Amino acid sequence: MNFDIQSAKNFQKIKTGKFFLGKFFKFIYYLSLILIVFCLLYLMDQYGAYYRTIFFPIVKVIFAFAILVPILDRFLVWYFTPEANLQSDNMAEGLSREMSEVVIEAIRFARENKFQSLEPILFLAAYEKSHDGKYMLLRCGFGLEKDASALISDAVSRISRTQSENQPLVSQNFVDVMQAAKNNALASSRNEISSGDILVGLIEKSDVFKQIMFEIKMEEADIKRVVEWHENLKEYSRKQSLPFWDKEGVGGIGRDWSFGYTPVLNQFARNLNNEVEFAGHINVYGRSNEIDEIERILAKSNQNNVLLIGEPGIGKQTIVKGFTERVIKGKTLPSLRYMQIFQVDTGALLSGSSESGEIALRIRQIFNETVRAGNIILFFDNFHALVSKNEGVGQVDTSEVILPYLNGAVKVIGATSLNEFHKNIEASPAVAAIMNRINVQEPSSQETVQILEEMIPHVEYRDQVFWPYQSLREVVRVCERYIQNKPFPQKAIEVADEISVDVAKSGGKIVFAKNIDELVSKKLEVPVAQAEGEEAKKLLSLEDFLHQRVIGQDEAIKAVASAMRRARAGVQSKDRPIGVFLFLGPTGVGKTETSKALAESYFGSEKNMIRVDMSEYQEQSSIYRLIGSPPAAGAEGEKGQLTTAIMDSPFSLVLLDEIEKAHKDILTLFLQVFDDGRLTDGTGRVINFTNTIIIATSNAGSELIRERVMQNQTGEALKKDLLDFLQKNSIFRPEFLNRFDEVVAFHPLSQDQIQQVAEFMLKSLSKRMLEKEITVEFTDSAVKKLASLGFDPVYGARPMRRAIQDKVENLLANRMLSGEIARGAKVTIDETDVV
Amino acid sequence: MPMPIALFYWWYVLKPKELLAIFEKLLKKELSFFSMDLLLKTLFLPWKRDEINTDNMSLQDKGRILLMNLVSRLVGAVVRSGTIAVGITALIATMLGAFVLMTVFLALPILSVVLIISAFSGR
Repeated sequence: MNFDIQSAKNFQKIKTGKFFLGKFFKFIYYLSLILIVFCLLYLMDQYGAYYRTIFFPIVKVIFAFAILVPILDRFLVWYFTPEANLQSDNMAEGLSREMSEVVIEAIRFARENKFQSLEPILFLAAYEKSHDGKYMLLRCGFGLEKDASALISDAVSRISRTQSENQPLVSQNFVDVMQAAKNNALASSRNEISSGDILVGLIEKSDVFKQIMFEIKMEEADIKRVVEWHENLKEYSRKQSLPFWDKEGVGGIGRDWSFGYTPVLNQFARNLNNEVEFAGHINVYGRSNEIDEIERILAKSNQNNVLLIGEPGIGKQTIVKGFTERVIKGKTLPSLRYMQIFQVDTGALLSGSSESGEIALRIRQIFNETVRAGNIILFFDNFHALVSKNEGVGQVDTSEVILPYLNGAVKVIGATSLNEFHKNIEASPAVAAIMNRINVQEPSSQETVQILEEMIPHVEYRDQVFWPYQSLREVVRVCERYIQNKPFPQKAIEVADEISVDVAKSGGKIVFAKNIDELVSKKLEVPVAQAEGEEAKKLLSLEDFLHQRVIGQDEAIKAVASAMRRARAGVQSKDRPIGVFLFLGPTGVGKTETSKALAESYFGSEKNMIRVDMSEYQEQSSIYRLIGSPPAAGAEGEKGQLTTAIMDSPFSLVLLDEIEKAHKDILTLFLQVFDDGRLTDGTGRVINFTNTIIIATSNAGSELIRERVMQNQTGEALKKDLLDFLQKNSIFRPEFLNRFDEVVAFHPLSQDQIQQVAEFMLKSLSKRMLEKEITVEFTDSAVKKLASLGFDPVYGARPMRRAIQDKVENLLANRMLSGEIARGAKVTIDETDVV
Repeated sequence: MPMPIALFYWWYVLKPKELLAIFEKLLKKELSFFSMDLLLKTLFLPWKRDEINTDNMSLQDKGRILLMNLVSRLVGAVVRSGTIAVGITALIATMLGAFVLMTVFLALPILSVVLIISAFSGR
């Protein structure tokens, strides 16, 4: 394989063609078209009167040339259009016309600058000649956020130069890039090497290009995706601009005049065939199995009803539209040709009447019309509302009415969620049995990117903003990681839509990844961006931040801070909670305070802490209070205290207080949470714990900790003894203890630390008093006395707050009320005041 | 391929092929639009499938309704036959149009040569 542009036929064609296809010939072409019209008019008008005059032969000649010139022009365009040949040994023969011009431009640039060799980086300099190439580079974010010109100049400056403007030699790296581009063209079943293939070749073989793309966070797979996206868009545009005879479709006047009227159905349903036909093309990614299955079921003579089961927003309607498109294009089994799919507005059908009899009559009319029409498939979104046992607003039980029709007379597609299926449809066993279930799975993140690719051009047109590929990828990343209460693709579509509007509103023209992070962070109140700048500094000094609230406990704070850094740097596993800790130690030493400080530092506020007192779950039956109970037929199940709280606030710190008191079965339940970050609640929903920090606290082993600390035994030795103690006394099972990221021993507080706790609390009191413009100071002896009063060997520093309330706050309140302390006063509390 | 031969090949082989392909698609489109196979299959079905069920009716009513149903079928057959006739006419018209267009297309270069010769020969 070689690359010789000079000997390539395409190159010759482009060179010669430039003369023939220039502006002069274009002018002659249009002039000829005008002359044809004039000559025709002249000949028709003057034929009799001026026959054989001098003008007549001249007009004939002009007419003849006017006919020949457009023919020749079209011929020359065809003749000089390069025809790529991917099978040739000379890879230059495989280049598209656009890429041939890019290469010619790169050679010109190399000669002008006296470069010795033709290097791949020169493609970037010549990409001005390629409309598609420029567009794809822009999609890659090239030149948008980060300036890559320094890298390019550096790479260009490293190319050796000669003294004269000779033809540059083609470097081996250039040939490698061309070979990779050719392979990609062949793999993608293209018949020429396009600008997209060259980009793939560059990312595979050019180190400089790789480095540039690395700077703008684009990897090989991303480049390939951008190329594919661009090709899809081109294909879509091509299909849109096809002449009517090239567009696929069946039916027409014959179809309309062979089937029946549906006046009542038309009031409550829309014709999806018309909608899809108008839209032109529906892209459905990764759903061909589901559409095949729908086709197979509907083509049957009996039990030809489909029930699509999947969470709302997962794409059930898109699947039906994909099936409709197949019907429109005649790409279905013969029995489904000429079919029309009507989407029934279930809400409208079941409303507007208080009489359930009237609704039943309506439904019967619709089904009768459908039977008579002979070519209609009914699609009911929220199918469960038709057969609900909980009759009420928008819900009736019409299973008895529709059942006779479902046995082959009418083809029905229903859509519902798994929860509604269990609750309503299973309660009508006959209906459940007659519907063929198709479970619709959530699309993967890669498929969601493809769905967004289809949507983004419309959003860009609407909001006049530009979406680089990185932003698209960021939407999917953020949604996958942080939004758990909605499925793909709905959550990604909603976020992309909102961000686009937001950027347009603020006058921006480009949607950057940081815009997405900012908006989602604001909405969810959690930092979603990769830790950078100020935040990174804050994370590095997280121990200091936690120590502002927690006195001592260096070991615990260090363990927690390390886990936090792992999480924010994106090192930790995404399929586990951010951190799972077991805090062991006596009461009042800072276990809860550490948890609160952590909630504040990570989730922005200590309010984002879900506290579960595990002593309330000592009975096995209490498990349902924690995770909820399953629904009985037709009735809602009980909501779980923990699972509901996590559903409402998925970004929280979960504090499992006094975990040792919970029933053993409940502890077993947490094994899965600690390991996989998920828990199936009583209603069958999977609750995601991957955005939580879980801290279990226990007083078990407090005495051991106290003894060992007295003996100056700390660190790993203490931890080992502690774990042995917990297992030997059957307090926790080994598999439970192994699930924690860290088992942290909280030491009893020393006298000094108690005094620091007192100082900390008094400082907080002083701050509150300062808001009332009263300055309160404490002498050292007063602090010492309060520290001794507020310390209890059993309860640690817990009585401190009470001591400060009793001895100081009461004193200040009394003096303020009696007028002894007024605004602007300065008060010093001494040991003698603390009585 | 030398340019004059390429010109001949392009105008008299490639382009006619393209035109024929377009005519073929046009004919298919028309066939699909009129769906004549479907109209034939459903030729004697009631118009818009509007038929009244005569179960549980008196003999007198039954007779009246059967007559109405017969009329509905007749209307259906007339409209569908008409549509089929229009469809066939459209197909023939398209084929004739295609033939004329193709003839003119092939004759255009010859016409220009004839024009030039006639101009110089003074006829």
